[in-house]
Amino acid sequence: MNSSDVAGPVPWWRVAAVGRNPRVTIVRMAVLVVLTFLAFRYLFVPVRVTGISMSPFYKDGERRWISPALTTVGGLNRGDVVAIQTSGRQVMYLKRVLGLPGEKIRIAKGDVYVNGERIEEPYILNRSPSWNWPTNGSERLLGPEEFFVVGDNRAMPLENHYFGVADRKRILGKVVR
Amino acid sequence: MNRWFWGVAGLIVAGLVFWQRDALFPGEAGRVTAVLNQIAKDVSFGPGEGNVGAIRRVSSVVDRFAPNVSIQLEVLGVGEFQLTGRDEIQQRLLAVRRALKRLDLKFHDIIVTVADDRQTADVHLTATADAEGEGRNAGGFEALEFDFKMSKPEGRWRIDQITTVPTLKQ
Repeated sequence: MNSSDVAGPVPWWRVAAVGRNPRVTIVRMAVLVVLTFLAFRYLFVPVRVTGISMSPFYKDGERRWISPALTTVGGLNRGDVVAIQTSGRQVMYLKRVLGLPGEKIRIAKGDVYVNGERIEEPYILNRSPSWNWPTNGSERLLGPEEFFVVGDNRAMPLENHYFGVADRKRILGKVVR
Repeated sequence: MNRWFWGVAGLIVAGLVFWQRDALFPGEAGRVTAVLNQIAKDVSFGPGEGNVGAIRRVSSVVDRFAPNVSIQLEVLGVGEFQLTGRDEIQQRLLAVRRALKRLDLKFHDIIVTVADDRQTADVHLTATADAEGEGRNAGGFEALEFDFKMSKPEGRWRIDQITTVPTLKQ
């Protein structure tokens, strides 16, 4: 007769706390914690939209998912909506990518021109003809790690809309849903 | 069984202590963060705050700046402006309180780098402001990045310089 034979049944609260096999429970917990951390850090990062700069398709208060991993694998394309980090991830800008590295960008009377050609933007409902950028009438040549990003709400006054050139390292990922 | 139960409990406690290590054992970076969060709290105000309370909180904020502090701000839709010295900051804070009904200032993602001598620190943070009122400050701003330069000349952390950091380049 060994000691486990006389220990009696395991109390229900211990089973609830650490399971019937504590060693397996600890391994399961550790795996779950690591997988959850990796999933919410690299695979799908939840964000809540605030503000009106991406309306009408991204409304104030909506919840969306950003995927850094899928962005690393698939790269960034024109038309992707991306999250741009500030000093961290608590607050990020949501903008649409219009210009890719090496391209020349200009906004004239609300229309966006890439390398001299006007691009179609079906996601824009209303655009203000007062939008002109750069203000000196020239083009902005994007560097090898630079992306030109703008919000969809072009009806806003230009001076109230934050847009410009984002470094690749600041772009966390694109919106996947 | 007891051994495993206490092992798991110990791991959970260790995890909680590690998670809250800055609150439980604050270093200089933790103290700087606490000062900045208190400043954000004191700059914020609600509609029902009286004059005495307002002046007390503004004084508390101004006291956290160095006498020769320099602030260079670039706020979207408002423009660029510069403040120098405590008096100018005090006047601007009181003017903001007169112009707005409510202001909620928050600092996020505060990154503190303390120098080796533990007497100076560089801070990079993101600020958001939600405001209610009339005029061009109404609505606040979505997010602005700032660099703070701070020092501890008499045992208390003070702000020497604030500059806006552009998230997007032009």
